[in-house]
Amino acid sequence: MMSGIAIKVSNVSKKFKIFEDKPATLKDRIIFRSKGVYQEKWVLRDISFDVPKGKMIGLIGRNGSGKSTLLKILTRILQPDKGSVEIVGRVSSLLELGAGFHMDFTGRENIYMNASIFGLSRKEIDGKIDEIIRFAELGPFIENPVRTYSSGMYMRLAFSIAVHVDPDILLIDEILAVGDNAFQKKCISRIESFKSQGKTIVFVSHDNGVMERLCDELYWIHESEIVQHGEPRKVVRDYMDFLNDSEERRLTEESEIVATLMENAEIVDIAEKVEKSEKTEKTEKTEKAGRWGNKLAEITRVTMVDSKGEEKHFFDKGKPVTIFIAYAALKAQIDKPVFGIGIYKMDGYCCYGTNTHIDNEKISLDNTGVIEVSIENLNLVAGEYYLDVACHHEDGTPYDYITKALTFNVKSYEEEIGVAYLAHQWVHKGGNVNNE
Amino acid sequence: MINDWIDIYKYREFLKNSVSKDLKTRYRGSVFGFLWTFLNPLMMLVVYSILFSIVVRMNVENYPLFLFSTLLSWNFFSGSILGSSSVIVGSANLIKKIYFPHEVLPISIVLGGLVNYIYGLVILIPALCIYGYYPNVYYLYLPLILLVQVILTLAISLIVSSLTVFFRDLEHMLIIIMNALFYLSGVLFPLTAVPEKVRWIFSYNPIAIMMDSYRDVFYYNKMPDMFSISMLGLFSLVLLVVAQRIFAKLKFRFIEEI
Repeated sequence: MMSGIAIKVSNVSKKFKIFEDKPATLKDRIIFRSKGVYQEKWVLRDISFDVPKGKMIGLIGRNGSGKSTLLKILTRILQPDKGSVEIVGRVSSLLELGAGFHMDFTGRENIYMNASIFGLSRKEIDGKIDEIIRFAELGPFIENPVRTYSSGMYMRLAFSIAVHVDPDILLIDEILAVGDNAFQKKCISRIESFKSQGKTIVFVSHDNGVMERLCDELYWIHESEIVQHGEPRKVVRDYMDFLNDSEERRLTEESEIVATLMENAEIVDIAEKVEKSEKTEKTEKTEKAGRWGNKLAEITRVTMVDSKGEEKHFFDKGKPVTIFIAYAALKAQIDKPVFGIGIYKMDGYCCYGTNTHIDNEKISLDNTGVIEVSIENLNLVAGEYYLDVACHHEDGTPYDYITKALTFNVKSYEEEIGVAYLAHQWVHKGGNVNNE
Repeated sequence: MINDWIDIYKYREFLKNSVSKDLKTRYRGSVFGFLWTFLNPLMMLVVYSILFSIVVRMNVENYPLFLFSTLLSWNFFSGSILGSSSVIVGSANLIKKIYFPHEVLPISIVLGGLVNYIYGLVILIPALCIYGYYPNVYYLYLPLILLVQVILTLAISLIVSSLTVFFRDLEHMLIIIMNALFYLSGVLFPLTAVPEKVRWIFSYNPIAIMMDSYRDVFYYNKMPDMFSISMLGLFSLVLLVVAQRIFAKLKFRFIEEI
């Protein structure tokens, strides 16, 4: 193998057999001569990459894309069906913390047991045991059986052993999903110190921020294949774009289904109305949750489009957005109408609300029409929001008020927090500034 | 193939820990605890002594000792084989989560059996002394016989442990096979009690050869048949190499089967 390469993965493919019925006894095998009914599924296809010594790479991708399988192949738990993996140096894995702990053994006994699974000699463990116990913060509990430990203590002990194996190569799978904040911080800082010691690390996480910050290179695995790799910032952005797009598609499909359902429902409604025309008049007026008003003017459709005029569920932060409110009204009975919008976070926090009265826009209605609200910059921080729209009389009598007329997402690569984006810039003036 | 053995050697600390874990946990929670390691063979000896001196009369001098000089090594052999047959499936949790050479599992069973056997000698040898069978120069052959037994047992354990993963029935079939083998290995009776016609079974049965060697040393206090032992040793070595190849071939499919 070339020098300077810690991990070399060449054309690795892996398939799983998904059994529907599996004969496990000799009788079944001999008499039925079947090997069971199964389907083959390639979980990894032709994966190749090198990890140079001392570099940290990250694997991103959706659940089930094959990331964890790849890590298991790197640890040699699984064997690839095709291709090969070459690894130079001692590998420690943070895949299954605490696997192989014996519940009846004390923490100390388990340290010896567990560290030896990683291939450490007794002498090496003797030299490290105090440090392992100290890092795990177990104190006197180290002499108690592991079954008496809380899950936090258990995790701390397991993590402490795994990181003290003094590996040349560290494989980490989504450990940040477990443990409290303090523990996670400890994990991250330990990973950082490994990095600065020049260890080679392969890291799997769904925390894109951490991935972007720590990794030297990212590999994006999608449906068993590497679709992109390179500079973390770029890969994360493309990956997030992809996620948002597929979410967009899912939501569109969903709303189409809802639309068809509603159409069908209307047909039924009409049929019912014909049957019991008298009763319906009253029921019609009962207010549904989330929508009320006397319906002298009715909001018939609300849409939200981006700068290209496309109807979407995801909008870029800071880009133009237009809201269309279509209405149908009994023109003669309406006087001094006011249209309003309100944007809320999903928890109900109002981010912004306004109406034509506040904005001094005089409107007189036709029988049908469309009100357009153009927002020049959608300066909301990334997240999910919903939109309320309303049409009411100037004195407040509602004609039609719809909460959650639609929900939408704002996407952004920045990780700012809060509600709104305030345009800003940072300026630094060094020590030479006069204090006059 | 050499690499496999080197890999196993690298995990010797884990192997050592597994063996001591088995020994430590076997009697955990019992009143006598580790003492059972000695109590077990002692009680066995007492039962056989009473049984064969009062209830059943065998035409062999000091029959309990005749029996006991081979029974311990038989228990070592059959315990290892039966233990190995379920060890891979039983360790599914570990195999699915951590990498280690899977050979370590059956090896640790066999070594655990060996340690137990050696503890058993602590009971056997004093018992022999009481009846006047004193340790002698032929005891020097014991390590060699034991080594051959370890190699043979290890080879069979490797095969059995890997095959059981694919044919679970083997585990139960082995109980029957071991039972039959017990009577065909001359543990219970001297070869002279067997009709000439079927005596060949014993001459070609590696386990019977081994049992004879132990008995020669402990009971007859004579030189074991070195030719047979050497041939058996050679056979065991070849079998071990083959067994390891089989195991190495099958072990990559363990994870999909357990």
